[in-house]
Amino acid sequence: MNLFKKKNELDDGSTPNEPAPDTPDELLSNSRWLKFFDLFKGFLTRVGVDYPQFRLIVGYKLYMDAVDPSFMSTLDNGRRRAGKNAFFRGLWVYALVSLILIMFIGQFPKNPVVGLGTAMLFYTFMYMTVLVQAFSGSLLDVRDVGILETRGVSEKTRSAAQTAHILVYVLSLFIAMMTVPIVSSFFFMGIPDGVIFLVSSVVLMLVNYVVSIGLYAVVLHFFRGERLKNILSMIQIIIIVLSVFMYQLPNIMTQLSAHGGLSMNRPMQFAWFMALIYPFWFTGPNAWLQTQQFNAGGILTILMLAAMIISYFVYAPAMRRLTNNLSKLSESGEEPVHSGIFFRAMRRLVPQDKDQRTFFTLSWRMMQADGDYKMRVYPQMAIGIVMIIVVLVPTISNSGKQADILSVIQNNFVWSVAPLFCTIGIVTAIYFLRFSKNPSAMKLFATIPAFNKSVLYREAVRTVFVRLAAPLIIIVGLLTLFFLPPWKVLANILVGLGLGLLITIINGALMQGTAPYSTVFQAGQVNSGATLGGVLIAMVVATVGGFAIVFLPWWLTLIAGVIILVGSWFILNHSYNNVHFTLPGETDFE
Amino acid sequence: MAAIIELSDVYKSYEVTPILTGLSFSVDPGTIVGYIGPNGAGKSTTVKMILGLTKVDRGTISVFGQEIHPGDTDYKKRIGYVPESADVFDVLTAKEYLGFVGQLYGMPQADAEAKASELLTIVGMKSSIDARISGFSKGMRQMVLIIASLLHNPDLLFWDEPLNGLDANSVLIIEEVLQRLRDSGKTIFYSSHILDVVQKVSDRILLLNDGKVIANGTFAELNAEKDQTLQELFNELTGFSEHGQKAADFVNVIEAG
Repeated sequence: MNLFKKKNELDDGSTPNEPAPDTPDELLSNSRWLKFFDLFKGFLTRVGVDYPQFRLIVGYKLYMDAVDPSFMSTLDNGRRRAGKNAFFRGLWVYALVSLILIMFIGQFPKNPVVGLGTAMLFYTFMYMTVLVQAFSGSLLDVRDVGILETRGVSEKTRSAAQTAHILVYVLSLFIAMMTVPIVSSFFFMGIPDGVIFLVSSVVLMLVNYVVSIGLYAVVLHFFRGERLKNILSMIQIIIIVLSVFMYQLPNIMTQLSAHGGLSMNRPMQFAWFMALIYPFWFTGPNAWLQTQQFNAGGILTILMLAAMIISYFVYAPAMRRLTNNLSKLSESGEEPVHSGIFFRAMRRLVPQDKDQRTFFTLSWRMMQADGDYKMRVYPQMAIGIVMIIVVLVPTISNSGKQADILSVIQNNFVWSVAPLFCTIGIVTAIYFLRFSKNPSAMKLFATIPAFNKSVLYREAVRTVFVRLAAPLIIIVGLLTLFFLPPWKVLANILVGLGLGLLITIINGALMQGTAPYSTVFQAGQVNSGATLGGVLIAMVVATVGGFAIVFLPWWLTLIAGVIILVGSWFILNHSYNNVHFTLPGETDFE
Repeated sequence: MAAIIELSDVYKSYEVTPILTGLSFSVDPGTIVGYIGPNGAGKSTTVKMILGLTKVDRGTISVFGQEIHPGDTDYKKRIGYVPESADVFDVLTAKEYLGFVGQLYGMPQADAEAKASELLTIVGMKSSIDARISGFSKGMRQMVLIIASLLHNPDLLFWDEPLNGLDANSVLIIEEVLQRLRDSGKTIFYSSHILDVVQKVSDRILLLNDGKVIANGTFAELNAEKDQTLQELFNELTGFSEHGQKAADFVNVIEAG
């Protein structure tokens, strides 16, 4: 076996840290995870699992994850090495992020609910993010039952193998994310607290797993067809969007706690929000140990025990319910697709002729239906909103201990430029236009004589702005009515829309070399020259706009906004007249 | 001779919709049975119940002379199945996937992969042995499924639309393979909407409609001096005679511009 052999053009050729399996049997022989599961061979056999089949299935599943170009592709960035699983190679990121948590544990050793609770909450969110990116593919794999159970694999063995496969990633993530916090808890809080935190964390890991099973089981039970797919897609998108916020949470909390000399390093009384956020329950034993009083520690410990007991009894039926309903994912939806008011209004107002309307509708429907596109683009759009909070928080913490916080928030400059933050995600939204689940469907256009590619591309770009960017800019702008007078809000929104459209057009021009919907979703090469250039241009444009908004009188901003918006719309209508991309199937007909 | 498959008064409903309503038939070993019926008749449900993928509400199913129960797995190791939906782990190569399937049936990996490579070579896929299934055409994928169903030399085969996507030469090969497998004593349960092929290959025909068998016999017995094709017989027995009118309406709409 040649360790340095290039397997495919995506290999960067660098030396792997450990031998990359060339074949499944090498993985089956050498995998440390399979050797770990071998320790439980006796137990699994006693409970009725066919261990050789179990081992075979888990081994092949891990091998498939290693060779699948789309597995955890958002981490991979197009630099997959043969046989190396993108998830495992990305674990160091989670370990690095966990270093931040030392700060909380170290700062609040006397307040486990905040110190340890932040670590638990952070871990839970990262778990949910990885659930969406890695586990859900295995959990919701409709092929397993048909491929395995028709070939003499019992439901018990298949289910055990599926669980083990997912546990590989659950455990890996746990070790990467929680080792540092657990070790630091021993250091900052002492051995008894450290041991209790270790045990509570492991229990939280298992409860998180059951929560994710339960969530999918409930959704699969109550929904079907198109609505089921939409709900699953929405859950996954919400989790990823929230994780964007979670990454900023340590920074935000640190700054807020610094303001006004707030000291949170003391035991807390029980508060209602602790009961709502279940990761906090797992700080109960530590809090109880510290205070020796029932209050928060006792209540949270009872909640934690309840979670454990419920998880124990819920797991098996939920798993069974989930598996039994998996076939719903491959059912075609028979309910008609509804055309919402927004779509109908935009289809009426925006396109100016028949061709434009056709491709505007196509692009709208593509974006509406494509879950992969939404999962990649919506979090980037959400970053804009998170950035508003990120910029707001330091101004609060720097305002001085005597300052009235409400007044500081009210008079903050960030509200004026808030619509501009919403342009952050436009670059990604334009970039991901090129991807689609079924690019060969675009071959249809290669068969149409004298097909106008410009219209196709222009309307795809226009749809990004009309469907994604513009509504976000307007909504965020309207929210600033709480803090700004209406005429200023209108001016800010118009500038935001105008500059947002300009950024859209420029990025569309930078990326017009690739046909929309023409490539399979893979490791996104987001750091390509075109996207970096697009980001830089977006930042310059938005910064100039920001200065104008802050320093110019509102009426001048309003006039500028109208001019930029109208002018950009005119430019868009005359853009991309000379696109040269190749459509799928076009070379077939040469 | 004991039947290799026997269904006795089987009922199955999905939620409140009855799918099978007292289905009964038996299949003798060493025969090709054409299992046909309109969409929604219950063909796939029948196969799923026999393969243990879905439970029977009422009635009994026996395979290889033994009544099957939920959780039974041993009998499945003597069965080969080609599903209508071409579900495979397509990130694997053809050899890897077939090696995996062979091992599930208890074959040593090397034997399974060697046999798979040989079979793929015979059907003209030698250059694709180490290629990922994700890049295969529909016909190539189907051939992998067919080979996966035969690798372990099963006694009983369930083939649902097995010729889907195959080119004309491959169709001829598989039709010939079917006959030879039957001649060697295997039993094939063949389900398809392409009735010309069903008529050609089947020893017996089971016609399912509304969850019940409405015709059971050789083609000659079912035809009984009518001199019809199987397609015509099918239309007559299932009560569908509107195809001419529907075709005319279809063309009228197209030509109306």
